[in-house]
Amino acid sequence: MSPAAALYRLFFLAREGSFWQSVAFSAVRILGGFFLALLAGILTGALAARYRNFRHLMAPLVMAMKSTPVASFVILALFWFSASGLSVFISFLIAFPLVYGNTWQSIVLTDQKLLEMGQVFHLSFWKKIRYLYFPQLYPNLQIASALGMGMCWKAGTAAEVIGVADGSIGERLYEAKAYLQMPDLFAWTITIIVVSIVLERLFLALLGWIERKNRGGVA
Amino acid sequence: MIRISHLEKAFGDKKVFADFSLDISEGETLCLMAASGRGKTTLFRILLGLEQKDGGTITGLEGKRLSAVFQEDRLLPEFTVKENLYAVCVSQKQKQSVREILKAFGLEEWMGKKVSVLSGGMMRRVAIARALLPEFDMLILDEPFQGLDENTRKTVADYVKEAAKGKTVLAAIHDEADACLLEGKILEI
Repeated sequence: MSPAAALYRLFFLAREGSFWQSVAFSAVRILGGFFLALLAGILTGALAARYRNFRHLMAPLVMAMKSTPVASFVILALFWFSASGLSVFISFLIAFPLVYGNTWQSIVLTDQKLLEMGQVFHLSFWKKIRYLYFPQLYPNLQIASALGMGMCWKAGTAAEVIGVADGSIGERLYEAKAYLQMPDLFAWTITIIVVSIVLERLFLALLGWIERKNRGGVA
Repeated sequence: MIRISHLEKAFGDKKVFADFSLDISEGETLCLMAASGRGKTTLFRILLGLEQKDGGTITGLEGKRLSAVFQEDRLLPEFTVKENLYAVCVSQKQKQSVREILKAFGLEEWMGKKVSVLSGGMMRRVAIARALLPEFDMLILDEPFQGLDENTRKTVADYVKEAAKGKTVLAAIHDEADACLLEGKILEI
């Protein structure tokens, strides 16, 4: 099968409403899981930086998240969730350890001398976050997000294939496999790659915008 | 009166203070002169609450608002000069005085620039300006004029004297000329 055939098939699929419904279905769930992981990772990462015991408590959990195969999680999750919510859960599990680890390490590595400066000048909680912690966290969060979002798409769609989630990209991939439709398989794979890259770029642009606003708009 | 009595402090085997006592009168400018490693910075850190003392007592600091220029500038490298100063402001009035102090220090046109692009002397001036913005009862200056040329030293010292008029100032200095600039009493420790 030639690349031209895959692109032709993609062009054909993109004209159907159901194509965009599948893209939206998967994107909402995978991004949902990613953003939940971002929120939970930052909050628990901050707690882990502050409380060593909490960090010790989290260590086996995070290790399990990092080393358990996605397929095992998917099968386990199918006992608890409907197939449609599966990619939220899997995306969360993939992105959480990355965000969590980068957050606590960034906070722990914040310049002690600047922290002392903040103490002497009685900087408020929010000012400490804005001036001391966020500049330290931002580059690591950028890396974790770029890496995490790509991995969420990989694992999220794999979960949808295994769970055969109705209306998802994963279901369309499953159908392509079941009916041996190679052009469809490649067309959907290209779609996943493109959507993943576009959303990653958009998110990094948003993160960059937040960082510039935080610095007072100076490049 | 701030009274430091029988202060003791050691880092491992190295004793920095053993039975050190010092009285600082309200509104006084006291310039401490000592060779490197004699504990000036440690004393300041103890007064600022950044270091625990091993023994002795310090009275007269209760409820006092302290401000400081650290030995290193300790500026926020990712932020502009203005943001570095806004960071320590708690009122609109203080924010309004940012431009005035930067103008006095010859830094007005650098207000919107990141501090990381400034020269060492400029960064020092920003650090001094930052210490003068919040309300304070006592000002601690750890080698405040390092990296400043003669003219700038005088300008900055004059501004510091004016801003700290009637307040207690404790400074670590290297030479008597700096003490003269601050019109402070010299104490060798």
